[in-house]
Amino acid sequence: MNPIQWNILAIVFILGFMPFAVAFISNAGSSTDEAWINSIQLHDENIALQDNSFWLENGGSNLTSWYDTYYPPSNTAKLDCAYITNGVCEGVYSDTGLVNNDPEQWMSLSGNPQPYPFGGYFRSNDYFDVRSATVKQSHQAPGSNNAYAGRSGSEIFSWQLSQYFNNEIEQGETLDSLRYWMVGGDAYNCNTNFENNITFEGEITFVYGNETITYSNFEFETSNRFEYSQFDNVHGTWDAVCSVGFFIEFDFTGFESLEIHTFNNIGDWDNTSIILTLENFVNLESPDEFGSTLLPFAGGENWYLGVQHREMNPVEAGFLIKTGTLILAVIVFLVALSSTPYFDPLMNSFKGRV
Amino acid sequence: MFEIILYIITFLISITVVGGASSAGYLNNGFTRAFGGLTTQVVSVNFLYGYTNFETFIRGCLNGQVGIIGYLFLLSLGFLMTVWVNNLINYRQAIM
Repeated sequence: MNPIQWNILAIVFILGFMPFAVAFISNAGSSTDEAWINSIQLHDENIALQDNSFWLENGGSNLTSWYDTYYPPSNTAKLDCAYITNGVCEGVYSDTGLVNNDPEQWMSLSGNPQPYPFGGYFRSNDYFDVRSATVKQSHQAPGSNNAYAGRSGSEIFSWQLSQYFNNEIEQGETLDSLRYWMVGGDAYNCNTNFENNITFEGEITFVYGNETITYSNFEFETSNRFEYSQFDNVHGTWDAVCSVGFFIEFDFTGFESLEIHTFNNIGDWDNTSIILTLENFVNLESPDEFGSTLLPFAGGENWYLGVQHREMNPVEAGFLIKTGTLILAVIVFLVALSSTPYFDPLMNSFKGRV
Repeated sequence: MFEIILYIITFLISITVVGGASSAGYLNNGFTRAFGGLTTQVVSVNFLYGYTNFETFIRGCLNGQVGIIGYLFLLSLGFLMTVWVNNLINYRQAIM
């Protein structure tokens, strides 16, 4: 081979062989055939959530400016928590206007609505086929008449989800992937035209004791229209209904799964909570203006948060990943060795001794 | 750190491409060589960073997620890059 052909071979090794080998190793142990398992435990009765689940962010401060323009507060209706920053309600309306940085005053506004989990509860939800928790909206009475606003906050939404959202994940197992279903509480006739295609980014943080570990840069593209079947008690039929909603999936690489396993003390899911963050929402039909786009967690009353997961056997995945990485390391070392001008004399000396 | 590894790898690729094209009678002046090299590096970085999980894997190895074997892989990769840089400087071809 001439020098150019050798160089082409080197490029093919880096841009062709290595990415395929790395992709194979990274996903070793994970399977797309595994069934999704409900992560929330089933309860026969509603169980009020008085634990450490709460809203951290509810759309960003641009929510307030949009409401300022389109739903100004009146004397008879108070805007609820217009925006929450890091778990604290900072955007509070009084009759005289916006009062910032005054969570005490917000708490005194008859406490309505409280940030999740107040009033939220687990139940086996009949809205769709995923076990879910009912979550209170954080700003359910925007402006006037308790109108469903469900719009304008596009910056950041974030929730701390306690271990009750994970307690169907088996102790000692690790996660292959997590799926969050988010569906607004209001059902619409499916002929109603409210659908938009949206993109946003996701980040997930596992919290164990005082330690955290974060995985970010997840990108999602989905429709905000969620169709499901609902039983009509009057006619005894299943009818298609639609809500604002979607599901998102966090798929972890094999070594991320192993890292999570080590992080929460070999799969101690009974003491692991999760911070879920979604941000930078863009309406693909109107990229510069998100104002009227509906989101399931930016509306009125309640929304439903379902959680499912896929498990992975950490022992099997660990073996495959470490063996694969070792083989790749040996291959790379041999390629490096064979790239030196000393490779042929070295091989010849071996041949001479064998 | 992992960005540096990616940039070194793609820099090697761009030098190899420019060197090969130059030897074959293309990219005869400084501007076209610079343009060709820069384009190759940008495309390579975007490919490895955006379309593969090569960067995630290297980051995982660096952070110890794969254990001591991950560091062993990084050592091998470092050895490979050192050899290829040396070869390109001395012989104008990556693999001898």
